[in-house]
Amino acid sequence: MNNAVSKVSRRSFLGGAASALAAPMVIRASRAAPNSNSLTFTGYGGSLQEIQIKTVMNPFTEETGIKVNIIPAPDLARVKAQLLTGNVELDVFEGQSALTASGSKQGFWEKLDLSMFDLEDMAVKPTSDAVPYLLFAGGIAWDPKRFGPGKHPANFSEYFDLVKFPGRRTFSNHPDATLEMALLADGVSPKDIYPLDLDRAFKALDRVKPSVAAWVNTTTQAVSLAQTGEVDFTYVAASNRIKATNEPGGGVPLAFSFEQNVLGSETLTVLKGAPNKQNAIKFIAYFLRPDVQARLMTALGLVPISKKAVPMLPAETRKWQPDLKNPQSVFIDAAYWADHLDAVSVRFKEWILS
Amino acid sequence: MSETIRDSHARRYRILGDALAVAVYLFLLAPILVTIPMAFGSTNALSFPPTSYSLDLFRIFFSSPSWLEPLFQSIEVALGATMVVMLTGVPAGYWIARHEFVGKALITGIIMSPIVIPTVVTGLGLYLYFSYLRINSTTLSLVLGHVAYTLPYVILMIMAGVHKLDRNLEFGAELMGAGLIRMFLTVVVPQLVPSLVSAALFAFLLSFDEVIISWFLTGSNTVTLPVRMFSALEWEVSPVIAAVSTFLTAVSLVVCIVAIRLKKWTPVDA
Amino acid sequence: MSPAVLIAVAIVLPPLLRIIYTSVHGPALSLTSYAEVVKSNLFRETLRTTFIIAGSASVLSLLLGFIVALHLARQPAQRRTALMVLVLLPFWTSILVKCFAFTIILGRDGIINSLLSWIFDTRIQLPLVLNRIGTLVGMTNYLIPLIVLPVLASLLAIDSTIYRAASIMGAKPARIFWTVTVPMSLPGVFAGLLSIFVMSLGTFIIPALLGGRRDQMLSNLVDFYNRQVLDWAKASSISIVLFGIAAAFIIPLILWRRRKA
Repeated sequence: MNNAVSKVSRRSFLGGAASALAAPMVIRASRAAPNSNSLTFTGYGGSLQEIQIKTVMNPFTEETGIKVNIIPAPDLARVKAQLLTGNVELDVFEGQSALTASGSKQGFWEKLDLSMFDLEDMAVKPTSDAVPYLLFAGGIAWDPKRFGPGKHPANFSEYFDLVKFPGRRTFSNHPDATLEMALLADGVSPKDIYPLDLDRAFKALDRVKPSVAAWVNTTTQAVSLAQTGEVDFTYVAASNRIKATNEPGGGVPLAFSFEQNVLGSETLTVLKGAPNKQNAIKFIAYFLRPDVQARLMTALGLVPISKKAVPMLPAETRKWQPDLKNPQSVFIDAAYWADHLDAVSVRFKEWILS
Repeated sequence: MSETIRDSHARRYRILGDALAVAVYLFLLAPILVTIPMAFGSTNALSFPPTSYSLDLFRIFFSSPSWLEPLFQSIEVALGATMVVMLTGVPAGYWIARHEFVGKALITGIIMSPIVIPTVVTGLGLYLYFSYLRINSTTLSLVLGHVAYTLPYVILMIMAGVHKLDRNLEFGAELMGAGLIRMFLTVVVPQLVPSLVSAALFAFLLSFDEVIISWFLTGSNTVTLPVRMFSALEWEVSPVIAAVSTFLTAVSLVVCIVAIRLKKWTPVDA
Repeated sequence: MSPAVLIAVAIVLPPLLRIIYTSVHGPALSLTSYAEVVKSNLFRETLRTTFIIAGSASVLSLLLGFIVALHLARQPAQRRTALMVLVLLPFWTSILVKCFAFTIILGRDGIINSLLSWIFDTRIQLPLVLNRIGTLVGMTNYLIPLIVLPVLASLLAIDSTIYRAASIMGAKPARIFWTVTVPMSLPGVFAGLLSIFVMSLGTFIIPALLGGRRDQMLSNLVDFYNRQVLDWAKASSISIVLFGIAAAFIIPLILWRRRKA
C-alpha cells in the first residue's frame, strides 16, 4: 500500500505550504502514466479484501508485474462523480450484480470483449459489461444453542410464520432479495417470481413487520445481532459469514439453512474511460482462472463461478456450498433490478417508515 | 441557629448535585469503560467482560501495516489540517469578530455552512470540487476537506475568545503606530493563547475522527484510521477496533494532560 | 477584507455552490426536485422524526450538561481542569466505537439488562437499543460535552458577590438556584441549546447504528438518495432545505446576541 507516490506526496506535503501547492502536480505526473504497470480496484474492504489480496492480487502482481492499488468501498456515487468530472481514477469495480446492472443502465462501464473469458467454464454467464466472479447464497441463520432442530424457521414461509416461530427477526434494509423472499414466503413458485408482484410482496411483508427488530444495512450487523441474542432469527445475505462464525475467532457459532436461498452473484466491471483498461481486463480474466478461483473460494467459503474450480475445493468448504440447482431457491435477476431498483427503493423506504 | 439550618440545606443540595454529576460523568465515560477491558480480551471475539486477558489485540494492531499505515495517515492529515485551519481560521475569526463589512452575515453563513449541511453532502460537494482540481485521492485533498469541515468550529472559538478581549489594547497599539499584522501578532495572539490551544486541539480531534468526508476523498494510499475502522465495521466486527480505540483514548488523555501542564489551560474559554 | 476570510470562503464556497447547482440541475434547470421533496411523504415523515429526535436529545443533553456544569463551576480551578478532561475524553472516542459499545451496554442481554436481571433475579430484556431510546442515549452522550462548555462559561461569569449577597439576605439554596443561577446563566444555556440542536439536525451515524426503523433522520435520507438511488438533485435539495432550517434557528440567535452587545 505504501508506494512511491504516497511517499512523494507525504514528504512534499510536510515540506510546508509552498511544496504543498506543488504536490498536486507531482501526484498527477506520477499517476497519469499510460500503459502503466498498475491498476486501481475498489472492493468491499475488510476481511474479504485481505483474502483477495492474499489469494488474488499478490499472485497476480507476481505473475504479471502489474501492481493493484485498492480503494475501500464500492460506491456508485463515486463512480458517477468520476465520470461526471472526467477524472476517472478507478479501473475495476466490484459489486453485486444488481448494483453493477444499475450502473450499466446509466452507462458507467466499458463494453467487454467476452471472447477473453472461458464462457464454457462459467456457472453464470457475463453480460456485455459485467463479469460475475463468485456466487453467494442468502438465507436464514440462528443460534443452534438457543434453537434446536425444529425450533427455528428453515425456509422463507417459516421465516414469515410468526405463529409457529415467534421471535425477533432481521430484514435487509434494501428491497432486492427482500421482496423475492416475501413472494417465496407467500407461496409464489420460484420460477414465477419475476417480474415481481410488488403489491403482493409488500402485503406479505406487512405480516412480519411487527417482528422485525432491525432493518440491517450490513451483513455484519445481521450476524452480530443474532450472536448477541438481540434477535432470534436473522436473514444473512451470504452464507460464508455464518461459516466464519464456526471458525476460530468467529465468536458465537451460528447455523445456516440451505433449504431455501436467494442466490446472487458478485461481479467485476471496468469503468468507462478507465486509465488502465488493458490491465483491468487482464486482472478480471485472472480472477476467473480455475486455480485462482479455487484458492480464493477455499479461503472465502463462497461458490466459485468456475465449474472447474469446484472439485478443487476442500471437503470442509464444500459442506458450506449451496445447491445451485435447488428448485426452492431463486436467482436474483439483475436485469429486473437494473430497471426497478430506484423506484422500488423509494417505495420500500416509505413502507419501512409507515 | 438559622445559619446551621441553611448550612445543612446547602449541604444536602450539594450532595444531591454531586451524586447527579457523578452519574452523568459515568454515563459519559461508559463507552470507554466498556471498550478498554475488551481491548485486553482475546483475539476471538468482542465480548464483555472478556473471557481471558492478553495483549494480542495490541500486538496485531502494532504489527499489521493495514492498521499502522492508516494511523500514520490520520496523524499526518490531522496535523496538516490543524496547521492550515489555524493559519486561516485565527485571522479570519479575528477579522469577522472585530470588523464590519459588506455581506458579513452572508460570508459568515457560508463559512458556517459545513456545520449544518449533512456531511454526506459536503463530502460529495468536496469530492466533485477536488475532482475538477485533479487532487482527489491525495493527502492534500483530505487536508483541505478537513479544513473546510473544521474551519467553522475554529472560527467560532476564536470569535468567542476575541469578544472577551479588551479592545482598547488593540486601539492603543494601533495608535502607537504598530502595523495591523504586528499588532495582531504582539497584542491579540498572546492574549488568545487559551482559545488557540483549545481550537487547535479541537480541530485536530475533529479531523482525526472524521469518517464521512474522508470516505469520499480517500485514495488507495491515503486511507485514514476512521475509514479503515468504518470499513472494518461494515464488513466485520474486528476485535482489533477495541485496541485501536483504547490506544486513541490513551493518546488523547496524554495530550490533554500535557496541554494542561504546559498552559494552565482553561478549556472554559472554548 | 482580510485575505484569511477570502481563503476560508474559497475552501468552503465551491462545494456549497456545487450542492446548490446540483439541487436545481436535474434533467433540466428547475426547482422540481425541491417540489418533489417537499411533497413526498418520505421527506415529511423524516423531517418530523428529525425535529423530534434533535429536540428531545438537545433538551435532555442540556439537563444532564447543566448538572455537570454546576458541579464543575463549584470546583476549585485545578480540580475543575482535571474533571474537564473527563468530560472531554469521551469526545475523543470514535463515534463508531461508541455506538458499538452502546449496543453492548444496552442490548437485550447487555450489561444493563444483565444487571437488572441479577438484581431482580428474573430474566429482564428491556428493549433499549435499535429504537428511540438507543438513539437518544447515543445522541445525548455525544452532545453533553458540547453544551457543558458554554453553560459552564456563563456560570463562571456570574459574579460570586451576587451569591453572597443573596445568601446573606437569607435566600435558601433552592431559591438562589432559581432566582440567580438559572436566569443569569440563560444566555449561555440558550446559545448552547440552539447550537447543539442545529448540530444534531445533521446526525447520521448514531441513528443508523443505534436507532430503529422510525429513527432515521434527514442525513440518512440524504445518504439514501445520494448513494443508493443516485438522485443527487433530491439529495442536494434536502440538504439545502436542512441548511435553511438551521439558518432559521441560528440567525435569530445572532441578531439577539448583537442586540445584547
